[in-house]
Amino acid sequence: MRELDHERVTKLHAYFDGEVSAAERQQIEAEVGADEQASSVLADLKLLRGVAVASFDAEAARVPEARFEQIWDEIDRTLERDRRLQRAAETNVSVWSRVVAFVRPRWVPAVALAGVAAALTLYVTQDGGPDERSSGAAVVASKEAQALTDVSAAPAAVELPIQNEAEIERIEFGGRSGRIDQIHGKNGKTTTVIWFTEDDPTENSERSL
Amino acid sequence: MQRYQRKVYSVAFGLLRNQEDALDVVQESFIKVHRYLANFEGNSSFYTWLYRIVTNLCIDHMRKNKRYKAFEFDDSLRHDEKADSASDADIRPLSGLGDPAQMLHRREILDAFQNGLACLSDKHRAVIVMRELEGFSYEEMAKAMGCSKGTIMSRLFHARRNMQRHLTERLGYMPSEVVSDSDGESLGAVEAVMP
Amino acid sequence: MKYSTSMFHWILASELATSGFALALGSVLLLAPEDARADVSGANCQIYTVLAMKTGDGSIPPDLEFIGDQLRDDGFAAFKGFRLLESRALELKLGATGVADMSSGHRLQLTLLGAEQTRLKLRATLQAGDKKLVDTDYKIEDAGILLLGGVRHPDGKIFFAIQCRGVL
Repeated sequence: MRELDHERVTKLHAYFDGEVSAAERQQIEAEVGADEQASSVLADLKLLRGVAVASFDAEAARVPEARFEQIWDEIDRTLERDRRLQRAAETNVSVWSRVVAFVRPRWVPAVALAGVAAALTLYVTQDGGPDERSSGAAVVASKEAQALTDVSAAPAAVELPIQNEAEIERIEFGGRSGRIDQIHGKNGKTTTVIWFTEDDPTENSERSL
Repeated sequence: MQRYQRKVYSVAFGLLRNQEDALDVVQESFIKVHRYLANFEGNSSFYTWLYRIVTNLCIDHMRKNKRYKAFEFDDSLRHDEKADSASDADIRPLSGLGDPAQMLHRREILDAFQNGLACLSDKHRAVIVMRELEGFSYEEMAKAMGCSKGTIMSRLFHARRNMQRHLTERLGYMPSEVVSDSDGESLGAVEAVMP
Repeated sequence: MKYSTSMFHWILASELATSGFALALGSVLLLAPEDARADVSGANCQIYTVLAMKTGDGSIPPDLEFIGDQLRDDGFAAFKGFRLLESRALELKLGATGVADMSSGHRLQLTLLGAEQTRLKLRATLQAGDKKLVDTDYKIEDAGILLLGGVRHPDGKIFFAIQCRGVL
């Protein structure tokens, strides 16, 4: 019975782990039948895996169920805290902000333009009056008309600032659910991620999922 | 998710070797799973994803916690060269320990495995847990540990061999009844040859 | 007398003009973004559309390495592959809204609401057709990146990375 060399044993390990190509698998399977040592290596690997799984199961069984219950209670509390923060972020919009948000795009430009036009008319029909007074209004009038360019561009080299975390002041999810996460990168920079889902939220409790 | 709790604990305990630390990781893992669950939509890679979260948390935990300073994933810290260089001749087949089906129910064998795991180096323990328990591919293990696939293959080979040696040395030459009641002297003798 | 009438007209005109100017100024203040910083006149924004896929080898392509740290986080652990689908640039003027119609079929509207110290205040609204998916106001450091995602895709999910730099 010849001694299996290291390379061949390693290959048997890879075969056992499903890490060989289809051709290699066929070749190994053809050889194993006639090679007692190779069969023994594979049998040991299989047994070792079985022992490993059974041993871990036995180790986990030592933890009392009550200890896991404690953990789930803490998980529930954490997730409830998440939900409260989420709700707070979604409703953290003042009445004044809502009024301004409603009025600003519709009426204020018109009122502003009317006021400016009235002032200009009075100036034009009167003697004197400094011309510069209207220049601010002209800027306002042109504000909405400022052109926006929308260009396609290849991504350039990007360097994130040290403080990359976003402060979400207001958020509304049009989908069925959403959440705000912070990723704490290994480079020490935090990135804010707004996740939303278009699916129905799962109503099951965390424990039963 | 409760049905996964002990599996998750097993992985965490396998890597951390401390019950309370492992339970902390279990808690943190399920919180993360719940937060990011919407990304899955029931696809079949849930186990892989769950185990990846647990594994990453354990690795982070080991790196952050001073208690695990000696267990950092640094190849220079601890080697199993002494054991690795030993002849394969002293490694007996596991089948010599008895009926394979019975082995999985013998407490002393299961305990000996845990003991052997504690004796392995951090790298070898990690590959055993990731491969045998979590079913990670070599590629996934390489990514998790930040090394090449070749390194993973080598570590896995040596880790298995060391574990096999540990089991056969501890259990192979004495009646199982004696081993199951003993935890001291015979273990010390085994540890002397372990890395 | 003629002089007095002229003076009266001038005073009246001045008062009216002042009122009109005040009204206009008030309007400007209402129109203008909150906390606007005088030295920021606009922002150059880049919007990256990224497909996070269920399949792949887990590697991060070079053109997404700038958010590689984020993609390797557990939040994205459900995905095994990433692809940059598109990169769009928007030049925003202070207080104005830029619109980017992405090839994914989504419309992303960005408004530079203002700036304070080194942070920009932005409004981002993502729409799918007529449906608004997210509408948010946020403050972020100049050149900071906000990730916005969760759009379903047959291969995974699409998300957007938004980065803006203030322009003086």
